[in-house]
Amino acid sequence: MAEVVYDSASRIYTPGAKPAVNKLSLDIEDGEFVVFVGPSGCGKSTALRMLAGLEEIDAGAIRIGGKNMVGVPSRDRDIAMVFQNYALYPNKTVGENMDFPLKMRGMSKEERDKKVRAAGEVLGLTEFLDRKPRALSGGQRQRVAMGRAIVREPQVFLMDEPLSNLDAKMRVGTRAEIAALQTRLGVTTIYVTHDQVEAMTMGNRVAVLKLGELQQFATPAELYDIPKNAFVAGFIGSPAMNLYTVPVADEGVRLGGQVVRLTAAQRSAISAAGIGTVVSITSDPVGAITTKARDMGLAIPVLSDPNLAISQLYHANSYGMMGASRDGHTFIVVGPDGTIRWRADYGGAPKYTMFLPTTSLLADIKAGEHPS
Amino acid sequence: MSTSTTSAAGPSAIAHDSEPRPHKSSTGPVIMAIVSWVVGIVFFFPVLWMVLTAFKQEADAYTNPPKLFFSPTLEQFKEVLSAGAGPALLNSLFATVVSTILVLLLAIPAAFAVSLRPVAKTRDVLFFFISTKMLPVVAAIVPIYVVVNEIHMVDNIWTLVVLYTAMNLPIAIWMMRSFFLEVPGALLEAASIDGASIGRTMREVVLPVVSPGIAATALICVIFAWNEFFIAVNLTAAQAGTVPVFLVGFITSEGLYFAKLCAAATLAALPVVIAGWIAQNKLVQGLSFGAVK
Repeated sequence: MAEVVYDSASRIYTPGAKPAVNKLSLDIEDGEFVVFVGPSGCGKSTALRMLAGLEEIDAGAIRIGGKNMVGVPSRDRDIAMVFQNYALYPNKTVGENMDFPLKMRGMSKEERDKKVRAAGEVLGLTEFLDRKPRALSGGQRQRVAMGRAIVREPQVFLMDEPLSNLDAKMRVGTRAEIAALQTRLGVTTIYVTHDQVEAMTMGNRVAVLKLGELQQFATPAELYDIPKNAFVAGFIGSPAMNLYTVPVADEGVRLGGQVVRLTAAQRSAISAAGIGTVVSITSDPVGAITTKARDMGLAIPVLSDPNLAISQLYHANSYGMMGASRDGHTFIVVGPDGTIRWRADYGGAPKYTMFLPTTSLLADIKAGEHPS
Repeated sequence: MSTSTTSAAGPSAIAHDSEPRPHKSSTGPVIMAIVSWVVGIVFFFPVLWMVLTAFKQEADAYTNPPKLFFSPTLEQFKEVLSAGAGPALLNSLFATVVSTILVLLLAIPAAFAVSLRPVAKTRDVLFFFISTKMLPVVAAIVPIYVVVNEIHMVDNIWTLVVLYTAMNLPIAIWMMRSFFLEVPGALLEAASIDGASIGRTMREVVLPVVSPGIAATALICVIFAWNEFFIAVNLTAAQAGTVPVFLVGFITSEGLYFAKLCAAATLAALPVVIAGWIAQNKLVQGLSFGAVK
């Protein structure tokens, strides 16, 4: 077991072009479960493969347990990896597959057998040890791949989208199993996924990447509550957070005919960036209802109007959809079944009020940027 | 929700009813089957005629139209064997087996290198390999003969071994390369993370996966070497003559010995048929190669 450090590690495929992974710096603690997440092409797999020794580290360094891994071949890094397509050896039985890494390290036959059997028991594969991988279901193959990784007790586990070939139901179950297994073994684990639900439920900490750049490295709760920028805010959370691009006003920003007050720090960030017109703000739809800081927040009149032209729909976790009319002045809340949940007297008088807490408002200092 | 589901399903269900699923025409496969059988019989007929003639007396062999009913005899086979088929068969067997083994020993590592660990000039190297097949053998036979004569290797079976190895190597490398390219890259990466050296990866991971490809490549090499005539007829005589050279001996200036020629040809074809039959299982596996995942 060991800590893993990315120290300005870069992967440059074509000199001069944008690096696939650009000066990635992360401190991963011993025994931590870290998830790399981001849209496809964000460099998360490349970053993992750099740690595995399957991609060059063109600049910077990656250290496992304090040892620099630049130029060290995969087999000398004391790591184990679970591949997306499992990469099981098709000509070997399940037992032989799990035995292979032990055999390559010159362990004695009895010791190997003991370890393979133990791993088989942990993963419920005992009765399949003599079968070939092609005789197994997708879920069983996935467990064999896990078995081959854990049997050697490496310093670091690497997992490259190990659940993406499973069906949705099995994915949820296996997700919990992997997380529990990792907690029990206490081995530093780096897990790559494009699925932000996996990232938020499995990781101690999550690194969000975009176009080879680290966006934020924090606990799931922190990512959710205090996203660093509009990209993280839009990427994390299911359903996604609400993001609005709004004009800047004196005390804050203007939204729906009212002014949302921003904190002094947020206001100074805006003026420091020299942006006087537009910023993106984001709100947590759950927090919008449950926050206690009502006086800090923005009261949004919730209207019921069957003829309302809804131009934008935002997800609100427990309350269905929140709609904003094209002029941005009127909001309605629609339940998941398509019915209007909040019914007010026709005529425009607000009957219910929602609050957008300023604590969850994020002033993204990039002018006018809107994610997605 | 329920109403929206019904309305969504409605139009597609109607479309399904009004436009019945197009039935596959049942005459198509029948015509294809008939054509295949006809083509198959046309191609197989000369082989059948050869095998039948091999069991005939020399006199029966000349009848036109050929006799379908005759008293079969093994006399032609006996005569062919006593005329020196034995040494010719042994020569062919030796040249074929040894050259095929050499080809596989050289082609597998070479193909592994050019397919799984390509470098900047890999394409040029591959083109060089195949370019050696572009010159017809007849254009190279005189220099080859001069060299072979100079080192006193004419009518020596090892000369054929070396030349057949050189002849089959480019094809074998290209064939094996295409099989290696099918090996999922993750398999090699997994092996290297699991701690296997390149040699171990080859032996324990890659070769078992590509074994159908090796069988197919070996079969092609066997067929080419076994049937090779031009080099053999020019560089061998009594000592190292192979089966194709021996066969031609039945075409004499006094006339053809049809039955004997057919008996010898049947004998010559037999080993290749057997080799193909042995490799069949592996070849079928080769066809389902993509299923490995």
